[in-house]
Amino acid sequence: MSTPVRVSPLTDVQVAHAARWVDLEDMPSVAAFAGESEAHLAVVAIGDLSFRRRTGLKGPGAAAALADAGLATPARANSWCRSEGALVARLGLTEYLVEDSAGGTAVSRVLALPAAADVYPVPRYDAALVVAGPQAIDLFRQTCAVDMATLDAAGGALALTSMVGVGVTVAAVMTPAGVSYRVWCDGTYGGYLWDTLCGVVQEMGGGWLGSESLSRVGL
Amino acid sequence: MSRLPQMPDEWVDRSKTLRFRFEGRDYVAFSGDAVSSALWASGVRTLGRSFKYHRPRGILSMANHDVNVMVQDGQRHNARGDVVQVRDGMDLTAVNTWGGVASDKVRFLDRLSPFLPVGFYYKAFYSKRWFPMWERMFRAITGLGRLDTNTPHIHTPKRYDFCDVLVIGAGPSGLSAALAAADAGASVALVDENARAGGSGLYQLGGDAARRQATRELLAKARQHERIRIFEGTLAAAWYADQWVPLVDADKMTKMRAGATVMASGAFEQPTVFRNNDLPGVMLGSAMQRLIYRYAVQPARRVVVTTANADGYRLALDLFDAGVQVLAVADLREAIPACAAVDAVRARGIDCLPGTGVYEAHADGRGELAAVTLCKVRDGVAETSTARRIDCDGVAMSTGWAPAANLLYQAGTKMRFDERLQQFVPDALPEAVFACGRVNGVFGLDARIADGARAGTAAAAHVLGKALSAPPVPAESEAPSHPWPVVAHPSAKNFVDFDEDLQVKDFENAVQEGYDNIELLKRFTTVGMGPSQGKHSNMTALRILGRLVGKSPQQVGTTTARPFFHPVPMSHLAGRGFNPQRRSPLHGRHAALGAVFMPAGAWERPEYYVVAGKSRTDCIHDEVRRVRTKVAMIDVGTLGKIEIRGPQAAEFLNRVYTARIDLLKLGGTRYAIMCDESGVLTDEGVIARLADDVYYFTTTTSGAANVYREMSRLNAEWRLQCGIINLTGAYSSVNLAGPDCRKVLGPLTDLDLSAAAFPYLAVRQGSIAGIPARLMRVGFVGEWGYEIHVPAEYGPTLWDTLMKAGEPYGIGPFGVEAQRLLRLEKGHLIVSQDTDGLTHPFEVSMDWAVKLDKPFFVGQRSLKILKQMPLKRKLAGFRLPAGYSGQVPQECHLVIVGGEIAGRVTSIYWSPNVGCHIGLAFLPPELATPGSRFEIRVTDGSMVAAEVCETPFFDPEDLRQKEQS
Repeated sequence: MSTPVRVSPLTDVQVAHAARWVDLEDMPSVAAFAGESEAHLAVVAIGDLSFRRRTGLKGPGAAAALADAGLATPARANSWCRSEGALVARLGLTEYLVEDSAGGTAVSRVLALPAAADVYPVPRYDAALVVAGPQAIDLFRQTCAVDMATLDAAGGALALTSMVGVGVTVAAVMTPAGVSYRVWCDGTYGGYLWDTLCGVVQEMGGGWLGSESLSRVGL
Repeated sequence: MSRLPQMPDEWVDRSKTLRFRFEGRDYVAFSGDAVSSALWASGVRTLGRSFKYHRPRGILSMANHDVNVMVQDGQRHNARGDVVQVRDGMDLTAVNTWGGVASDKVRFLDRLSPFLPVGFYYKAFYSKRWFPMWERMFRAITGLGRLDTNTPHIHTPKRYDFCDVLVIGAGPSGLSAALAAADAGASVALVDENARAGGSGLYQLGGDAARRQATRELLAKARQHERIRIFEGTLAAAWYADQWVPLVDADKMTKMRAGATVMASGAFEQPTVFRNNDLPGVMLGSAMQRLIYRYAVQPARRVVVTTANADGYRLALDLFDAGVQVLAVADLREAIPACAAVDAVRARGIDCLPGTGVYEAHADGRGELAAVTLCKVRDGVAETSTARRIDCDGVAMSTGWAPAANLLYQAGTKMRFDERLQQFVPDALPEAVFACGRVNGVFGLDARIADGARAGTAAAAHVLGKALSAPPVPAESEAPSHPWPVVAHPSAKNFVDFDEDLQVKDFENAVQEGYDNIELLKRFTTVGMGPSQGKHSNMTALRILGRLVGKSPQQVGTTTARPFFHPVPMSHLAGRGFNPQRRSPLHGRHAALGAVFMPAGAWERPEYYVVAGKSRTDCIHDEVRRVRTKVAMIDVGTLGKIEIRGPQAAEFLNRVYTARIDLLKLGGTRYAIMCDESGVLTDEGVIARLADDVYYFTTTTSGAANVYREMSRLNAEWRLQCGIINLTGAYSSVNLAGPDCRKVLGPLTDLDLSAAAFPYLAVRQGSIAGIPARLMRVGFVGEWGYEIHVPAEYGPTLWDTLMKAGEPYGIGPFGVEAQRLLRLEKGHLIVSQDTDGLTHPFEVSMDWAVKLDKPFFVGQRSLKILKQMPLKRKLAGFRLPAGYSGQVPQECHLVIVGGEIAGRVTSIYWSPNVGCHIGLAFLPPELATPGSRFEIRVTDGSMVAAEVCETPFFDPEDLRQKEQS
């Protein structure tokens, strides 16, 4: 039996604008949007990274379980770190999000952990976005009540907050394109979040980028 | 009136001429002109009509509270002429006139003023008989502006912003505060409602260029400072907890969150109260200075200044420099304190008259100022024997100030009345709130700059956690406000509140009628309730009340200053609309199949699927038929889906649900309900036991978030060893139902679907086309069926796979309406449709689901009590006679017994499988027995007979869940 197809929570809202698709991690993703331009990165651009595999753990034994999977965890609550190529975010005291990089094995190692009484697996099929460009902060200031400018990318800070009325986790990350922001939300709100942000981004003179452009600029 | 030579800091751009219309006549303006300044420069002095008596009015303040000069600007109404800038092509009309400003047909109301006493509205409505007449009249006459219901939806951005120190007011003290805070290392936002920063530092000069230069230097430094952002034309409209201040500009509202706030909001100059103090040509001294220095407009040719402070003398000097003939400076004080400004005025040959005030202003034939009568005035009483008439076209009022302390009040500042200053000043400021300048009772220019530095330094110290100090602030040398700027006159028309045409006698009458408290006085007289919200009237009203009741201003107190203290466009309050919508992973599949979506909480769910050429009802009945005869699929991914794990998971669920969850066998499911502490049924769902310590359960769509939140709260309280995981968005779910469902599913799964291996109400975990899945055999719609739960990212793939596999069996989707009909045929209730906020399980025959013998569960105590009490109502099934063709009852139609309300319908459908209308209704218990008859009152008032019957209506033996031998 062939591997079942994963479907991005943003597929429905992106399909009308997609120029080219590509399979990433068994998920059809938009390689390029019609009329997209990397010049948008000079203003503000958003992209979809939902194809990356991710999972979560919570409970008193979550940190130890992640260590058993060979993953380091952030020392502070509401922060993130890189471990074995994966992004490990600590959401509160005892909840963690693990997102693999392309071809990574961190998620599969976590999923293979034996059941434990004090560890609770949290399946994560989020809509996962990236926001980049010098006016990224301005986008947040039109959509979110938290000052993302205070998030220290080097220090691995993240914020759990609400954006356009949707619960989101936001992390500031250093990339070759400068400081950019990762945004995760429940996939069922993903279409609404994407559409709304695209509307604001467009008003600001920015745009949205497919996975090929995101990859080229190191996002 | 005319344009003056170019002023150093004027706001107008003389290189750009604009053309506009006002009241049907053409005028020209310079770019940057306010409507009022442009008209005044063109010689127009009557710019509007007063609210109540329709008296001619002109410029009062030029400070955003000239509410008698409001204009209709196309679809925008009540634009304030004193601050709204002229645009090329504007076509303006004054609001609140009948036939135009010049020939207002209801100006006769001014002569009827004796018949329109204070509290007229209240008195008019005393009589029930005359109420309709007064209502019609008031509705016809009152109201400002013309609302155009075709005005398009104006989209304004929503915006948040942040800073360490927010400085409100960019006059000398605000600029100084911003610089001090920024120099100390704080990020500063400096906001000013005026089109340009600088405040009074650039228009109250007293002929002294050094005063202007000091402000210019501060402004230049602020503009260049890397840590200062200046927001001009931006109003700080309110103050909320945690330093949250909405900033309103022309395009949007910004929600500013600051670490500390410095209020440098200044003071409102107050009118002097004398007869006819509202004639066009009588204005505040600061308004004349604004006209001169901001718009380069000469305010009048021959002016009398009435004053009681040094500001009046500086004003006289400014007028003199602008080429105005200053005829006299009438000072209410018995003795004029010596100061440089007084000496300078005298040196210019201007007559300075101590102990003198304006007794009366006189109008010309157009109702505009033509002359004043000056008298010696003692404590507000004029000695008419000293009367002296002076012809003039301008009176400048400069007898006192009221602090612009609205935001300070909102922040919780305790204010005190300073007798020496004759002003309320901050007594105890809240944490992280600071005040400086005039609002802080500091009026001298050097003192304001020093006070700003002090406040800015303190704010920065608070935010940055540093110990910082600033130089001391010099003390005030004189009172800037007169304690009684009121001159009595037997013929009244000495106005206190220009918004509401309130005269001194109105306050006297109100107090005489018993409204002798400031809050009561406000409501009875409506003082301060007009568009300017008391900016120019509250302080005088307070002084009058104090004198009438023998109290000091401190004892009288002030009224509550509520946010927003200044009008804000509705479009700004709305901002960009954020209405989160939740969409199932299968949303696109439904849309492609022609779904008509309906809202279900935050979700959009398919109500039914359109088939070309068929009606809605036929489409729904086709979907029902497909479920009953073939196989069909519905998206149930909107159900709440929660997992609970841990050694005490069963104990937790036992406490939350009314059933014995600990007895649920591994691989089994159970329908269960939960109640609140009062025993009210709050939610329902199916609980599946996946392992000894792992349970997976569903909740209603609308209840999911509340159930998860409440469970998380209870878990934190009970501290049981278990964890709750909300999987509502993480799992996609469908219900595959119908006689052929196993034929569709069987080839795709590794699970044994036989009744023996996978019986009714069992749960199994396996895979479908390689997709990991949890399957529950449920019977909500009364057919053999499987509720299939898979990871959300595989939902669409599962849907496509099942639809493909079901093609040979005629598979199709069914929507919420078909599901509601199918479940009704089985007599299944829907929580929140067939229950309400008072329904307990015994009323809906769910006694079997409540295990009162458990040690504890939420609501148990209440349910034990309710169990002992007779039922007041009971949910029962009913049917209408077969072939009934009259008006069909609807949900919530009432059951009537003996002319009284006895119950209501909660669900009703025509059932193609039962052959008649069937439904559920709350009935009196004595009526809820099969065979009883009752009547339902429908919309047109007629009665429809119905009969109580057993449920389920369809397949009462549940044969459809059993394998045929």
